[in-house]
Amino acid sequence: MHYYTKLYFLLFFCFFGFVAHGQMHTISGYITDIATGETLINANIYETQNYKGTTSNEYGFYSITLPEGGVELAAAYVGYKNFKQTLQLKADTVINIQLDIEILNEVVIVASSKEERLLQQSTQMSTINLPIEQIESVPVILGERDLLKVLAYTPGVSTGAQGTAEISVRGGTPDQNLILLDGATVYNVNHLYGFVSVFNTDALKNVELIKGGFPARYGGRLSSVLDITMKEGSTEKVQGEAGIGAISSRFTINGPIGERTSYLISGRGVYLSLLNLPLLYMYNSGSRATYNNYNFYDVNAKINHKFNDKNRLYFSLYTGHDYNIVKDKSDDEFHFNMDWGNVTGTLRYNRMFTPKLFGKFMLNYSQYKNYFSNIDFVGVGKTSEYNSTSKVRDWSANINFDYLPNASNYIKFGGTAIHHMYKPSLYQIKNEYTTGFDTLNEFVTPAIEMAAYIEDDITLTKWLKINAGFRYSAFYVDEQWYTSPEPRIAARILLQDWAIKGSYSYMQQYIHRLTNNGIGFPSDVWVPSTSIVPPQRAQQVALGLSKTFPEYALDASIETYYKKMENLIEFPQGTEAFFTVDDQWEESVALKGTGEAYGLEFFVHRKKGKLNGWLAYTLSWNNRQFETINQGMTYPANYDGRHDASVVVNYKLTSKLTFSSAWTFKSGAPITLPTASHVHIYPGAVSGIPLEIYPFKNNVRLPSTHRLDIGLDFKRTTKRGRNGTWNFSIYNVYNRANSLYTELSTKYTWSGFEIIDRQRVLRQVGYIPIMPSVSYSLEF
Amino acid sequence: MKYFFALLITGIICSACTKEIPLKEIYPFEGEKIVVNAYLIPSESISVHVTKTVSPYELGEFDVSLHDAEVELYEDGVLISEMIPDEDNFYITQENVYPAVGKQYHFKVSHPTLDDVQTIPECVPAAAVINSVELIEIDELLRIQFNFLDNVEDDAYSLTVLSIDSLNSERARLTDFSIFENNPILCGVRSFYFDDSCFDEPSVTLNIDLERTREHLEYENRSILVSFYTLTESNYQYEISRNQLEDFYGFGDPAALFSNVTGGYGAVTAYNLQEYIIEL
Repeated sequence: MHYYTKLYFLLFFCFFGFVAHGQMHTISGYITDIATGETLINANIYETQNYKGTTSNEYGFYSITLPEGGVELAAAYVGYKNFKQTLQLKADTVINIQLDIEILNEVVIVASSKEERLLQQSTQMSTINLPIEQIESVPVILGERDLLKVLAYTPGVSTGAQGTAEISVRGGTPDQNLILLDGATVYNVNHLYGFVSVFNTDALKNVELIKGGFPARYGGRLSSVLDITMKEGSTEKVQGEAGIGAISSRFTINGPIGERTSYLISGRGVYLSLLNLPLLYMYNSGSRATYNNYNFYDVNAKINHKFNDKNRLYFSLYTGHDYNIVKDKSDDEFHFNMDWGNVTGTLRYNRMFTPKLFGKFMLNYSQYKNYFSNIDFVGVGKTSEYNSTSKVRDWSANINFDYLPNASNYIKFGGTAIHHMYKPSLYQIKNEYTTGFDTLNEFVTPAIEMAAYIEDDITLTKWLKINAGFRYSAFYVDEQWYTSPEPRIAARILLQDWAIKGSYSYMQQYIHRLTNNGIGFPSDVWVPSTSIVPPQRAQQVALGLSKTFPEYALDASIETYYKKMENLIEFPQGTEAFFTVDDQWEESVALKGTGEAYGLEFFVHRKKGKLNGWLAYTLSWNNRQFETINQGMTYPANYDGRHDASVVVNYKLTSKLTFSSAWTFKSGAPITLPTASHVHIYPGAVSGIPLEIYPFKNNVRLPSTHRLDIGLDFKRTTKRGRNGTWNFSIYNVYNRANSLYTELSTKYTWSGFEIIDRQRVLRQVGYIPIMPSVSYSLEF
Repeated sequence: MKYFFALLITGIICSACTKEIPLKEIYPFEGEKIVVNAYLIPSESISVHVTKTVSPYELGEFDVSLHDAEVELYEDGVLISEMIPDEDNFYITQENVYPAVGKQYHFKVSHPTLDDVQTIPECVPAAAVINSVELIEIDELLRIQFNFLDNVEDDAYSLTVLSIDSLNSERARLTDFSIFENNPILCGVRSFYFDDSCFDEPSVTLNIDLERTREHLEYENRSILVSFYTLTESNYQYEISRNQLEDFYGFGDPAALFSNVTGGYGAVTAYNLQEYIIEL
């Protein structure tokens, strides 16, 4: 074992000691919303005398061990009224806490004492936790609520082109984000070529984005963990919501089934297909030469059963697909079809073994598949066809335990085993002379990924708290094991009212995504590490300062980070990545690249109140180096941008009217442009042919982008007493030309029929102009 | 009101979804540099094409001519010729110097107004030596079996390019070859690139199978030219990057054109050629 690993273990177990106390008893239970019965995640539960506390886990379970005697137990959660209860603690006690939603303008007790303020400062840093209500209030394109686009307004998170859904976190690539929906991996986040993400916020309860200081329970990706939890459905009454927008319509219904079971079903779909029916009729009747149809849908469903206070069972499902078909007979007739989507499923069983030990057992299924096909009609009854399929499928089993032996230790431990099945490519082709398809480039690679972890959130003193963790991961593919110890540590030091936080994490990633630099094209090909392409790894250190202002319900933080990445892969310059790869894909990528990302993030966040929102600013650098790219020299990564600022404001004008706005500014993205033109001469030729030369990758910056979106929510009650909300929004209010992609082009100046000037220009293509939209939703 | 909405919608539609940025504004031209291009082939006397770069934003017939350049040719590090200008931006040796196999050549080019440049020495490789050629009928196939001497040292990074072409008719389709058993590293149109690792033995047997299908029956009485190119690594890298650049569709980053000219652009590369004509 490596010397540093041994040292780490030694330190880890030194801190792992439990604090001895006198007669102790444990208070445990669940914390829920009183109106719906939904469990509340990361709620603070504490005793008010010494302000020792804990937080509820992802299932709303909490446990706190305190000395025998009189105790005043309190609970606080953003957007809810505080809870307090006095009791004489004589034995282990179960208290299920129900919180009531805080009504705005109502005088409520907020955490105001110094101790409560300090209690909120956990060891976890580099984390974004936005309330779903706040996510839904941010204006976005065409009124489509979008989780990922809102996260892109937060520090350290950026998107590529305007309007696309994929995010880069602290200089990482989108494939380095572990995106979990109820514990199942979501491989592709794009609907509608990236204009809408696959997450329907109506079905979501909690969203947490971790950018650094990763707890040991997470692994498998380098740059971030986006942990999304679906709602469980009301246990009190049947309720729902339906909405109609510019792109899609949606509905959600949830409620109880008997006393112990609840369910939720939520769906979205576009109705472009219906609108396109006349065009299809015209195409089929020959009065129209082209037909382009697009359709997507997604469905979230969940059912929960509570056997008793100790045992609960959950099953959740997500499926979503996009279909795009293009038919054209203006020249040679062809049909082109694209189809892609995810399916995830999670079966969870939770058991409270003792008031101090909570077990979580989970079985997950995850699949992403894309499919392309083309049919050329080359004669009467004759076709020339090809199709391509790429797929990744996971089955995983997880066992996790939360153990809270005393008020000073919160231990989490467990393990995971994932069976991956990679089918990067299946390419089939037939021509007009053959009846069946010839299969090319078909290869399947199974792999097993395993990990075990332990972490402890330890309160050493009133001012010092650490989270020490260790993860050991292993990956088996092609009869070879790859393993890695992954130490994690985070610390929080209180200094007056301020919390100084620091963290170090080591991450290893055994999966790579091959994709072109398109605009949200669903041509992702996932491949495992091999003996030629080793696992990616990253080390990140972060240091931050944070402060909570309870009197203003305001959190402020400033963080700096440095991340070093190794064993990255990238397509070399000159490689045009299309939709298929073959089993020799390792030879077509540049290997063993390194990357470094560092920066400074500033975040002021007000989660609730009449005026809420946030200010975010990121100053960052993000570089890559490959031996075979850019002549071996360091170059800016595709997602590099020096400045990134956002201002999100929601203001409740009246009880019926809420105004929202989001303004964002980003430094220009790097692109590759020629440095010069010269001529190439063939052997024996007397004159050359002109060539543009591109010696350097990402050598030029596009102009910066900025945009303002505004929205207005108007709530009204229908005659039947239901709450309806009209949303009016304007995307890109001042019509700023921000590019989706760019291309070199020639601009001609004409005088009559004569060209009088030609100029080489960079065309920013596909920017979305000012775009008003209206949507309506109705609660029932 | 309806007029307002009509105007608004028209405005949105007319609000173009593209914007043009003059390149000069965001990326000024770096300035002219010397460009040196030459192919060193033992059968041809040495000539070098010396030009200059121009702004990538120039359009139409741009002038790359470079007058008053001084061009020096070195063999194994020794100056052997001060080259003289010829037509079409070429510089030639006064004494018709032919590159010799195994020798290293490089150029130095200077100009009164531009920075001096120097090429990285390039060694001319030996040609492949063909030991034997046999025609073998195998069922529906006609196999052309070459045995040639792989004269590239095992640890060298030279490459052999096999180019196959019909001398008789453009309609002859020679697309089915079984030479893939040697794992060519690149396949072009009727050309296959092998690096030295594809051939384990000094003596290499290479089979070219012509498939006698319904469409390819008429290969009799035709001639096939098979060309064995032995490339230097520089030549290979330059040709690959140039092909990628010329065929670039826009999905990804354009290729960086290989250059072995220090201080400027261009490529001085070498290859050797052995041709063989087969009468079918």
